[in-house]
Amino acid sequence: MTVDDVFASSRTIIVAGKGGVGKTTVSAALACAAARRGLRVLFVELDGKPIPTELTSGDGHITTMSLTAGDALVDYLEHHGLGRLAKRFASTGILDVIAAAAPGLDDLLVLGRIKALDRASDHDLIVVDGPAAGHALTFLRVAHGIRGGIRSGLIATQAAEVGEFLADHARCSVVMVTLPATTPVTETVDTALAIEDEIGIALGPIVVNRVLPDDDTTGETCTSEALRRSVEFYRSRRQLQLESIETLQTLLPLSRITLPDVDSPNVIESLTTALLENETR
Amino acid sequence: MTAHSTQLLVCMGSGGVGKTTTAAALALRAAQEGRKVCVVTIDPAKRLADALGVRGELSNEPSLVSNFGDGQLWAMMLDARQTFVDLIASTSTSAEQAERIHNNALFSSIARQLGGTQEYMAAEKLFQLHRDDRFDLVIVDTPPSREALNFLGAPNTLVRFLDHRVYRTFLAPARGGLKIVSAALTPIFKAVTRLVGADVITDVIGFFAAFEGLDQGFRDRAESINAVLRDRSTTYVVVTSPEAEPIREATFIIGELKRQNISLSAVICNAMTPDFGVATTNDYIASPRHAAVHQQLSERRLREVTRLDSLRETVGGDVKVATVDLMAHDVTSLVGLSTIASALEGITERRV
Repeated sequence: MTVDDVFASSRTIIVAGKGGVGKTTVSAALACAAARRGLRVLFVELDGKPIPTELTSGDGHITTMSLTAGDALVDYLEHHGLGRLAKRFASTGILDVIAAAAPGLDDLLVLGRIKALDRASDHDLIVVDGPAAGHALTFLRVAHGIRGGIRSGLIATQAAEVGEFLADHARCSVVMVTLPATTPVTETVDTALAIEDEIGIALGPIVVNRVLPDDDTTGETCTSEALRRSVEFYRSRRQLQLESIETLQTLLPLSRITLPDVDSPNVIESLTTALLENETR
Repeated sequence: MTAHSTQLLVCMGSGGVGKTTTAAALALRAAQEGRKVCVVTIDPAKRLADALGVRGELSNEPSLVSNFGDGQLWAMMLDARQTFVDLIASTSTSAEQAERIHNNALFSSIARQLGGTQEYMAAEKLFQLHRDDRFDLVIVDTPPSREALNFLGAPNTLVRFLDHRVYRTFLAPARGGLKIVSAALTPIFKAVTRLVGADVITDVIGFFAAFEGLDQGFRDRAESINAVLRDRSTTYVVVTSPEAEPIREATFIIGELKRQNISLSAVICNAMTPDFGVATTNDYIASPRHAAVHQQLSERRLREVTRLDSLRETVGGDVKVATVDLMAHDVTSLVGLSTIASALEGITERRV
């Protein structure tokens, strides 16, 4: 399996992962890699975070979009003959109110908008930089959750449609990003199993970010204390990483994409190249 | 004020920077210095239990982890829902009222997942522990929200909710049915029903009817909690790692604290690449592959130090910036935690 298979498997890819794993960077690199393959890409940012400049200054293959629950609500109302009320909804802060009375509504509206973008077929690939922190599961679970709470009304219909969209493997898949360390791996396994079993969403490969390459020092003599200590440290960090990747593989036997540990200003460029050269395992 | 007053220490920072471990290390250090410390984590993961070497789950009540002479280390894991239920029980005027609130569908979903509930309950728990004379120091690890500062506004969560004018409009018909719903809002009311169905509206009205008469109690409590969070003796520590994004996030949080007139006690930067010392050109020539690793790590450390220096400028000279080197092995015991704790001297000291 290659990154091209990932691009071919579904039109929409939702990238999920906990804070600090490099989710936005990996999402951006996926979008760049697809664009470099000639695909028309839409990059969707959900948290109101700035969109990486690598995507906005590109060659026109990539369109970017920031999507908030408020925008999604206005859009939804306009499409359902309630356009005149849309402004009033925004100004009275009523979204907060409905969202509190029907938790998950904001997430549902956002997913509904993504579903509509997918259906519009204006792009070959939609990369969604998923919600921050530990909310991925709550976010994806919402189509199920909200149907329990809301038994009638337009939103109940919307929830059913979003549920179908998420479960349709040809339209939507989730790519999880993790780090090769104990806690992120444990959390990724738990979330991944819940995503597959509870929600029935297709899981793409797991992206393991910031993997240290082999140090390649075996057999080389070294008399310098400083050099020896640095290699020793590097190796034991790498060993920890390999152990957690092994745990990941045992508990979650999916294909993997490993990306190198890059600490430089052009991380996205480096990861894009790595993605295009990488064979998933 | 009561004679006993527990010092509070709040750890803030973005996700994945080792906040939980730092909170545990600070607690351990203070306990080793002879203080009675309780560390509170909101993380559902078992990280804290792992780091403290505690077998089994931590619960919503403090449990004693270890004694150090006079010092004691306690730990607990926040259960936001349980804390909310307890809070309702203690604030309600009667058992029936508490029961009505618990059984309301809207309350259940708010207690489970309304944005900010975790922060709100973390603040509530902190307030309870503040008055608990078993402890000299309570350390709390705030939820890993992007807006770590939600924590400071959290005590007002429920009050804001009860105050919402749209809600008061919803509630109007329930209060005797005579009050006329504001004409301007009627179409919205209808649209909401069309969107989410009438059941939701019924739940909302039931929710506010159940809270009838409790507003003032919650308002007073929020004021008390706010006073404690903004008290001079409450200590704020920002935790970060040396990568670009967490440093940006930490800079933002520090700016916000300043804006809110809250004084920052320390910044802790975790997971710094260690300094392995210099090597000579001859060493580099003799062992080129070793040299490549050494060079890579040295360059990384240099970038980290540069980023940290710019953070130091934001912080100003009077705030301590402590760094903790990345360790060759994971921290899974009190011994490992002690190594981190040794780098954190003077951070838990009480300000006078």
